[in-house]
Amino acid sequence: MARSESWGSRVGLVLAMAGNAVGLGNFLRFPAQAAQNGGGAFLIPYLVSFVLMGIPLLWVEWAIGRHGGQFGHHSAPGMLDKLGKQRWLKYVGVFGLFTNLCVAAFYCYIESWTLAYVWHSLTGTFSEVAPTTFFPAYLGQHERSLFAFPLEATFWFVLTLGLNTWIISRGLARGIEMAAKIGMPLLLLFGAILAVRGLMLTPGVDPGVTQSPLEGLNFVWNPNLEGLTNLSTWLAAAGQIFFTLSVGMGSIHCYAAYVRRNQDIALNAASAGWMNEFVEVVLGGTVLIPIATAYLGLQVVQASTAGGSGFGLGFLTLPTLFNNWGWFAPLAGAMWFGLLFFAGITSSLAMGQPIVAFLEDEFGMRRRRAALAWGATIFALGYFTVWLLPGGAHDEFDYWTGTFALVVFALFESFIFAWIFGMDRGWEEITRGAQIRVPRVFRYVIQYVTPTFILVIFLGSLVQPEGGWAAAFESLSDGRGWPFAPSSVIGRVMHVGEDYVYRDADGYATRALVLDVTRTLLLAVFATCAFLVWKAWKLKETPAGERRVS
Amino acid sequence: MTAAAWTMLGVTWTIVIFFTARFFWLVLTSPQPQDLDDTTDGILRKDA
Repeated sequence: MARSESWGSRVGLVLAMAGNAVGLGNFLRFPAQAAQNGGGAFLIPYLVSFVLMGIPLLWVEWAIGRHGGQFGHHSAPGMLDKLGKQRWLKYVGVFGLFTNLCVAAFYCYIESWTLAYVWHSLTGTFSEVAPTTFFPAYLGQHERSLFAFPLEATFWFVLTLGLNTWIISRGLARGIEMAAKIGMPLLLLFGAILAVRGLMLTPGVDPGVTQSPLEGLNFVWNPNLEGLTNLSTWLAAAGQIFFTLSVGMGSIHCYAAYVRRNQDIALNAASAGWMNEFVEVVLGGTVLIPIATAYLGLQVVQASTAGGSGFGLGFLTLPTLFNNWGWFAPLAGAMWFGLLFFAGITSSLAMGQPIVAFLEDEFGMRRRRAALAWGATIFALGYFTVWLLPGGAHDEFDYWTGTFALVVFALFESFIFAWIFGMDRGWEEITRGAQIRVPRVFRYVIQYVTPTFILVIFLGSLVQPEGGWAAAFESLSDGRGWPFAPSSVIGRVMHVGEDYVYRDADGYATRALVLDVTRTLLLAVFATCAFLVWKAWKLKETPAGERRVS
Repeated sequence: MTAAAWTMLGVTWTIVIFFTARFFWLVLTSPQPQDLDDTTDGILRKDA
């Protein structure tokens, strides 16, 4: 049997894991979420969630991954299967395939925008065309149309996907680890340069600057302590921790599966997790909002981040603002979108590896062929979201696979690890070879607190009310029923707040049709992943029904 | 910036930078133990 792959160096592993966690959300979502949910007070539930849910989940996922790797499994179905005797456990692992496939499909498209924006920043496009005009044309959007056929965006999407596929096909040490070793230091460097330059902007000295960037920093950090008593603030903070660490996806498990049996995971996991926090809290909170505030003023920035996302500021506003930076403008644009690109590609590579590992481990496919199969599948799924982006397919992929499925998988895995695998074995797995002392209290946190935390997030997203929790309970006690928010799971399934018809008065397809077609496609992808798992295990069985020794 | 904002920023940054630096320093300076049986293919237990 060929020697199994392994990481080339420990630093490479930690950088790859940190790169997996660091994504576009560190720079675009975190500052907006913090500013909109209590400012500095948001950081209290945020850090509490990190300690009680984030770090424990990281240890659980690293432990499941390294344990599964000892049996030759580097993807979630095989790993989950090895946690107990129950035959259904491997089907929970289907989430680890489904999520990585579907998130990569729309995420690689966003990643390709950042690469395109690097090019257009360097060639000076944004000094001639406003991004607010450029971006809809780039995406191929037309008024009232639910479809888009963007030529340039397709080119960059194919290029980005090709780059991902090529890196994955090179293997763990020569591909993914090398990309992390190049991408992460550059990301930190670009982030630090932009943060320092942004904070040095001075009204009356730098052209176009109307307000101190410290006003923007104050917007992010000034604590509104009333937020601490608001359940929405806690749910937002826990949600942010959840998504920023890339837990509940199956990608951490996969990377950890290449760690050897007696090698440390406790310190590696803590290091990668805190590195993500550094990028998010220190760099992510210091670039976007302070620079935008300096030029646009606080009111505009407040309005732009009202939805809890800094996406519009990042893609539509910042490229114009950089024009005020003279000769440095093209470089600043390239650095901003370059750091977003590095944040994106280190994450998308982590989404590709579990699929490639599944095809290698369970179907004996060679790496290059498996990588090509992944690239082709991501193109097919991704192009669906490109084509139907104006109709809402992209957002629908994002919600069901990038938000909902993560929580469901994490809920299952935390329960299975603590209660089926068992905390005695689980604790031994986490602490074996540990090069830091893991406080014993975390044994009980992992067993009781973390699953409860995730369950509360899950239930909160399921029944999230319109108009706040207090008003919703009042409405329920008054007999007016529970006012599901359109953004809650139940609200989405029931199409709350929208006309649920497939054709409008003029006979054209509606957004509701696009959403239901997208959901059907996602269910079909999940069913296909489940079938592949069933088939893989069927192939391993001998005629007598015994599992073949592999 | 208000004093409260500076305090939140200072405390949070101190916590985050301290733990990031501490753990990454330990990663850089702690040697990884080799597997007892490092001549195998790295898979120590098989499907039973």
